[in-house]
Amino acid sequence: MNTQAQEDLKFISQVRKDMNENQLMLSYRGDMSHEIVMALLNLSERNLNQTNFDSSIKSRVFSVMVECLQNITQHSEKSEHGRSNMFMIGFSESGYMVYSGNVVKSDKVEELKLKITQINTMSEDELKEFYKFWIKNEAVTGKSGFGLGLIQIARKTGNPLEYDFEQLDNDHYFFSLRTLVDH
Amino acid sequence: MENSINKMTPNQRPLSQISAFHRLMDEKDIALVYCGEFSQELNKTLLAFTERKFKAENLEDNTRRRIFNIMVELLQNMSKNKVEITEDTPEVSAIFMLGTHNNEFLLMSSNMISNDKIQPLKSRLDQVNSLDKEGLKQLYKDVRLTSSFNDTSGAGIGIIDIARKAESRLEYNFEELDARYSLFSLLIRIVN
Repeated sequence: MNTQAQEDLKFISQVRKDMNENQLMLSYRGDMSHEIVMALLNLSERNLNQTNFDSSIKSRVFSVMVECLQNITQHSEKSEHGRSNMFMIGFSESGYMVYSGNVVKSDKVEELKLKITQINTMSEDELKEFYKFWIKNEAVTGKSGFGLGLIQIARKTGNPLEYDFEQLDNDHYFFSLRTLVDH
Repeated sequence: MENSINKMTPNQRPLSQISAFHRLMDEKDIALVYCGEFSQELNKTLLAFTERKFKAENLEDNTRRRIFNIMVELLQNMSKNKVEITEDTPEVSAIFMLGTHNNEFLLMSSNMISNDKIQPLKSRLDQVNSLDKEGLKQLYKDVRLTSSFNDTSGAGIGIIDIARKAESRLEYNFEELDARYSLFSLLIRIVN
């Protein structure tokens, strides 16, 4: 066996270890075209249906996935040095985990951090009001108020949005977002 | 909110660890990893996913068909060797991976198999790796004529078919888990 093959086979064990330790079930990396998003949703739904979680959780997980994938398609930047889009789902005893990651421009980072921090401190009612405000705003200005997807994710899960920004180069960061959907 | 933060921490690893995993997928150009239960239904969805992905990327029909056919055999091979999970089977999840690198496609599977299946599987793999195109064609014919429909050895026609379509060496690995079970990993490289 050549060394490349040996390395690749070793890589399989590494991936299994990473998947297991992070309690991941599905991991996708690459372009997020409409076709891919549909195919990913289809695959994830199949996955969901294999579990024993009740249908209320399943439908919430599904909407969170849709929001995350939409977030990626709408806000991801193509960067030469950038890492590619990422979408993962996993589950544990406590519930489902949806993870998404994409490249964003540096000047978006502060704004995003602020939004998420703000969302994370809000109560359910406040989130509802906040969401209404942004929906109206969008209707008036015609612009998609960024954050709508994030607010929806927070509303569906009732859990804080966990995030991370990793600098790739002067102009780009890799933005990852993780949410837990539980009972 | 305080409560939910606490709820999240105990069994969740920091996000940075997932980032490290993501970096690994980037380095190796891995497009998809699935880890868990492989049912008939799930296999269908995995196949549909791969089809849609490559169609969207405008990959030529011929290569797409090759990848699809090999993937069918690979997933079938996994189900054939499936081990019934009981209390005393080792806890190892089956995994499937799809990677693309320039003009090369990588299909990888790794699953638990019963140790008594290793020998026939290993000899079949070594056999196909030693044959050229013509030899594989002949072997395929021979095995097809002699094997019965209910051949469940897992070392049958599937592996030969994969080798014929992949047109490259099948890399494999067995890793013993205990006296009864091992981990079988298979790596198929398809050059466009």
